Amino acid sequence: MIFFDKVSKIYSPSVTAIEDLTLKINPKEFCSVVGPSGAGKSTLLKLLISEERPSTGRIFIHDQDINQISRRRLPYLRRKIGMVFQDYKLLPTKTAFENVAFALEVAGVNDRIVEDDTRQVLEIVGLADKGSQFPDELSGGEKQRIALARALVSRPDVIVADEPTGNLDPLNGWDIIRLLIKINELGTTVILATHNQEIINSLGRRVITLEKGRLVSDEEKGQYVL
Amino acid sequence: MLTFLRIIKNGFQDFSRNIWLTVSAVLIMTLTIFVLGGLLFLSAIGENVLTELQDKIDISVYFATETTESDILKVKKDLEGLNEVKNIEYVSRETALSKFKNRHADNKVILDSLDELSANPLSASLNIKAKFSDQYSKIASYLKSDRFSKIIDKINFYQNQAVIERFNEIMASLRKFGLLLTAALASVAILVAFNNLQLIIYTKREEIGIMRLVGASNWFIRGPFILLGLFYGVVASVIASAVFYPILSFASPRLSALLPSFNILSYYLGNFWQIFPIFLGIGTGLGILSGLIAIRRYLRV
Repeated sequence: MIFFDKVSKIYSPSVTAIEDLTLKINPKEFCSVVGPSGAGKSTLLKLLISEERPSTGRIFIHDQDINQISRRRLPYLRRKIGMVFQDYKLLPTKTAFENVAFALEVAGVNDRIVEDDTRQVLEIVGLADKGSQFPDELSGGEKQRIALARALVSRPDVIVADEPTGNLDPLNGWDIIRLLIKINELGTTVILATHNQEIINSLGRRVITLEKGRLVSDEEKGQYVL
Repeated sequence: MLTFLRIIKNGFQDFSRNIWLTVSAVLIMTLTIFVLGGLLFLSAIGENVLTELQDKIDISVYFATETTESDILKVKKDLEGLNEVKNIEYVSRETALSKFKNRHADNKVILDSLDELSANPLSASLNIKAKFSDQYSKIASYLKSDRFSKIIDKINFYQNQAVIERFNEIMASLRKFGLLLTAALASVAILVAFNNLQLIIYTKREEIGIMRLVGASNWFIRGPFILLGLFYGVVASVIASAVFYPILSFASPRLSALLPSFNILSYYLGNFWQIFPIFLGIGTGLGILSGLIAIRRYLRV
């Protein structure tokens, strides 16, 4: 369970990204966060992986206040959350396979399991044959699927996707969304930030709408209302 | 252990896949070590020139003509007991005379007037060399003491005192200036290398951030960089010391013409096991330190 307790993030007196946000996300939920650019979607996700810390309020994951975690222990939190970004954030000097395997290597998983799990996840995203290619040699859709595989490989409780379809054409975008739905059906919480109206409307899942840092609506089976 | 092996693997993967970054990092380190090595050799040469100059200075003590040789040798022995004295050369009256004659062999007037005299007019003398040129006044004042006053006719230090003191001042400021210049040039070289390495790591800042977000611990990220810094340093110091050999072989005979007593090549080879560790220390220190400092900045994700 993820719980935001009266969280505000104020970058400077004139820039308030999140204001007094209280929010609960249940395990195995598929939850979309929508809103126009600058509404605070990305900040919300950054707070969740502790890339940013809240100005006031507290954030709990499994009853643990994540802002109590020291910088040194932060990697352990992040290994439990798979993150997917709009700009993929793949390591350019590593092959697709190595990029995915890296997420396991950092956790000290032994070589055989790294090998097996990486292969398996690449199959799930349909890129088993592209493992030896470098990110530069892959298309945008392929890159994003590799990034998703990387997020998935350490079997996280939560997958956080920040505009994962933002740089993709509709077809490739839908591939990613379908994968996210599949991952969610296998029991992983998915938090998806997007401003793609079409995707939200056809998902028929919970939608949280932010505007200027404030929560303006929170609906089960929501629609894109702005 | 597993993590350590992975750090090594990642380090060498980075090394081979960023070959141009590797080349430029090694190159800039090699150049720095080369400049620092050059400064080291220059200061060795400079020190040698100064020592050679210093060796040209001595003071002479002239004894009254009636002083017996055994008295003089006794003074010589006394002087040799002093810490400051490097060596003493005894010139007897006869030697002094023959030296004088030799020197003026083509001057008939002088030789003729010398023949007019019934006895040898020259005094015996001791030529004293001090270990350091600022010790002459001490030696001179020692000789000034009462127990020598009867037999000593003249100490030439007091005629040359102004010149010697001036020389000492110049020596001291040359040394100080040389040291300052070396320190300044060395810091410039190190700063240039440091900045270049910072830039190289700057190109990696995004990757460092990604690694953090994927859950890599700081040491897992830092490890490969430190390893690479170490490796670059070793490679660069080996290259720099190898490059010095042909350069010094070329320079050595030309330098010998100016400075016969000093052979820069044999200085290098003779002190190689002192010089190489210095190079190695500079290279690896620079590599590791700049890695640590630069990465620290990008690990704040």
